Amino acid sequence: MEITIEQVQGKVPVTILHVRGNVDGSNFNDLTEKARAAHEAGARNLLIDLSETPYMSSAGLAALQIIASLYRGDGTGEGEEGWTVFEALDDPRTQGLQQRLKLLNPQPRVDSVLELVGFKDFLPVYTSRDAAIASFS
Amino acid sequence: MMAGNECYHQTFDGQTEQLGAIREFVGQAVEALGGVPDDVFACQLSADEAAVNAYMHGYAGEPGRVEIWLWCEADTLILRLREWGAPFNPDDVPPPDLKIPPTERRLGGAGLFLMRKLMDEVHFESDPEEGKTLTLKRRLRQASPDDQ
Repeated sequence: MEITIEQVQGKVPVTILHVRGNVDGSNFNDLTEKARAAHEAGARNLLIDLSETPYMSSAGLAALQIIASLYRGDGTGEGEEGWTVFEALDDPRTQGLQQRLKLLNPQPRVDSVLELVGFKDFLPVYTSRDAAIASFS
Repeated sequence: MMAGNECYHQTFDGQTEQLGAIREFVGQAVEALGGVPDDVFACQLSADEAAVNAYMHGYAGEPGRVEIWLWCEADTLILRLREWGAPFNPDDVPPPDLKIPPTERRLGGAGLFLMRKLMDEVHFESDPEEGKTLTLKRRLRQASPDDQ
């Protein structure tokens, strides 16, 4: 698996992690650490591009859990905004609140895993890069 | 146990770096046994999840052995994994609560949950000499229209 980082400017700065290859128990820490390093460098809006990730096991899901906690609304992982990163998409309590972690273009097998474990009810998933970038505000 | 069918068997010594080789072996065996892409994926993911539990928890990150067998009985594909790590019973692991945000969930448990979703039967046995054996069964599916 290879991960490259891209910085783009939408309404706000957005950091994109492009993940190329399978994510499993041998390398999920690499994904977590890239996201952590970006966060330490100031990133607060993260888009994980899964266009070139054919496979993800539960280890990858654990990485997404850890990253979501890291990118909580206040950037510290603490405080009242913490729960906003991964809150239910259709929950009226969350309307107007910003999600700081989003996924781009998960491939069919990865998408089915995200669906099975209920992540797609909480984590915004986009198929258009432009729409994903524009969604951060 | 082979009952007229080919039985595929391989031993994987090491740590999580073996996961790619495990998926490759399982994928080739399931295809050879007549599995369609959905069967291949279900078995690859299940074997991966079982093996990563063995390497990371059973053997606590130290090198260890995972043995895998695959064979068919009638229209049912059987995937068996055996390891000799620390005692562990998958029946003790609660499924993830899908109704709460992932950040509020505890880490772990999703692998066994996926395994149970993708396979038709999951059986666990533990024996002091023969180790811990996980036997997973999946009735072979028909090719879907999306399959090439």
